[in-house]
Amino acid sequence: MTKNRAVLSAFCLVVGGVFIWAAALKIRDPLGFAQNIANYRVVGTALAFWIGLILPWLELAAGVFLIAGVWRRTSALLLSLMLAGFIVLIAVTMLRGIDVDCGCFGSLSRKADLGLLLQDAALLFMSGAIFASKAEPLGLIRKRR
Amino acid sequence: MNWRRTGKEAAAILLVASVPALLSNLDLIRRQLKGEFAQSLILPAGTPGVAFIGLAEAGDLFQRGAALFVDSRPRDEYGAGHVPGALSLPLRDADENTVAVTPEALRIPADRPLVVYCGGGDCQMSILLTRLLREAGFGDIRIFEGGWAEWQNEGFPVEVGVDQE
Repeated sequence: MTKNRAVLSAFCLVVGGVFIWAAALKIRDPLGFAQNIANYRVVGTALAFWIGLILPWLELAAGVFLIAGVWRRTSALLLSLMLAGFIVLIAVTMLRGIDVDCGCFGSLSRKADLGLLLQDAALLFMSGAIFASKAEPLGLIRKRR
Repeated sequence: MNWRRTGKEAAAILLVASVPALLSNLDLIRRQLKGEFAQSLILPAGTPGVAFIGLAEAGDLFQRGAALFVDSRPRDEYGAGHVPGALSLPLRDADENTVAVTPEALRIPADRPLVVYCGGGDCQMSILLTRLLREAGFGDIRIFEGGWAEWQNEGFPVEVGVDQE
């Protein structure tokens, strides 16, 4: 657990920023993102539709709250759970030999490969550190003491 | 860690996210409830120039020579067995622009009926290739949902080998 507020703040900015950007790209094309989800062949078309609609907004909300310092640890927990899920999904997809675009960044998405897995692992480390730390990063909203 | 409080905050974040998600996609939700996306999300029912067909129609088109079959699977799967006379157009090659999919590049008239297929089952390759072909200008594309699995299992004619130029 890191007590360095500057490092935690940097982690919040990186993780929150990545998720806000990724969410914005996917919100523009929810059906395209839903199709990316369906391509992983884990859920059917109907469930992929609803995930495609709601998940980007959840990423956006959690990313904004993380940077703003509102419900910070809960936001970090949600983002960590999403990242853990993405990592498992990518690993399983690679093992199954399915060639898909990850869908992470809308039309700018890359292939679901080892590089993406490592990128998500790095983000998971940062979000996990935020969740686990008792120190307060420099949030935008000051809490009354 | 107060998990009850965390749970409430998580529920609040989900609620904050769900409201704009639903409000900004009311038209898509209405179309989903009408079943428009039952077969495909990116080529929903009613997409001009695209239709989903079953084995009977695919077989009829094959018998009459009324359509060009397009195999979207990888080249090695095509070589192991395909619809006789089918054009091999692997989705990966088309998607990565290794192969151009315009009517001019493929030397196929834009109004020629095409039947695109892949492995069948939950295979998405035929749908994704159809989207590329439609964007390239082809105006009559049918997606054979059962794919190679159903064609072969029902005893329809099979051709083996890769001898396309």
